[in-house]
Amino acid sequence: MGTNFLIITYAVVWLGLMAYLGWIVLRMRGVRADVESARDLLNERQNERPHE
Amino acid sequence: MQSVLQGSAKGRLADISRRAPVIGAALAWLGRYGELALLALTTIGMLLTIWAAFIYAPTEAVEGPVQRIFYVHVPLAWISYLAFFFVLVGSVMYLWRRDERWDTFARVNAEIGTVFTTLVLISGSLWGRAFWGAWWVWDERLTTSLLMWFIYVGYLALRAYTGRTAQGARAAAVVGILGFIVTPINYMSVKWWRTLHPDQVLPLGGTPQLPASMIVALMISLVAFTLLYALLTIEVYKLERATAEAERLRVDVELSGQE
Repeated sequence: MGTNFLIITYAVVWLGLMAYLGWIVLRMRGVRADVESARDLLNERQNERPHE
Repeated sequence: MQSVLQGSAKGRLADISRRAPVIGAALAWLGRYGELALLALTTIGMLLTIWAAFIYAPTEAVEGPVQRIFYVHVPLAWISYLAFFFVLVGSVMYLWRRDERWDTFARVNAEIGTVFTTLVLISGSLWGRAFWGAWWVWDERLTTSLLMWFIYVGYLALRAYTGRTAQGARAAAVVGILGFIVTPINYMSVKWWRTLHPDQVLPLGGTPQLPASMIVALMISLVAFTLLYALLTIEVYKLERATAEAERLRVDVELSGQE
């Protein structure tokens, strides 16, 4: 009985930490894609503007 | 001012590199491979923690194998205390210096602290079910842990609601400072009240209440989780700065569309 709870606890803690790390990686990918697309759009608009 | 400071710091580093090439090389290596080295050390530390908790540490006579939960439960609690202390530091420094980086530091630590407190509550509850026969009791240590969790979930909810505004950062800093009051109460609760929760095993300034092999296993686990905390802090901090940059760029895009 005690061993079951021990294994469940370690599994929950490690899976929880892995899930958190995975979530950080996913958020980082999303933000990097956002930064890239915003930079591209900004460059495009600056290039479209007539030269003064 | 900031660029002047950064410039002088760079100058100092260049000076060190000239005078002591070995230290200079070590600093350059840390800048380039530091995160990778930290990741490798954390992985080794976590593998050692499993070995120490399941193989090295002896089985406790009264509790049996379920006592080994202690080798993750205590380090998780340590990291949540550490993270909430840094929320306090970041909040005080933000109100004093009004530097956005301190606010980001506090926000990062609130997120990490909340994740670790969630795991503390879950691991504690599983141990309670195995040893006490109950998932939850309204004991002072458990109740203040839950209260601590609610405070920092509230802090994160406030940050999500107010967005990246100076007003939101100020309000969050006040919550970060006042919210910390519960943390030392939570730590001392097993001393101040007669609780069901086991007593402190490593009391501040006192002698450890455990055999040497258990202390060694706990120390390995504490070091491994502290390394994980350092790695998470760096990664989440970078994520927060990148998110702020993405928001600034989006504003620039909108403004350039209006011109």
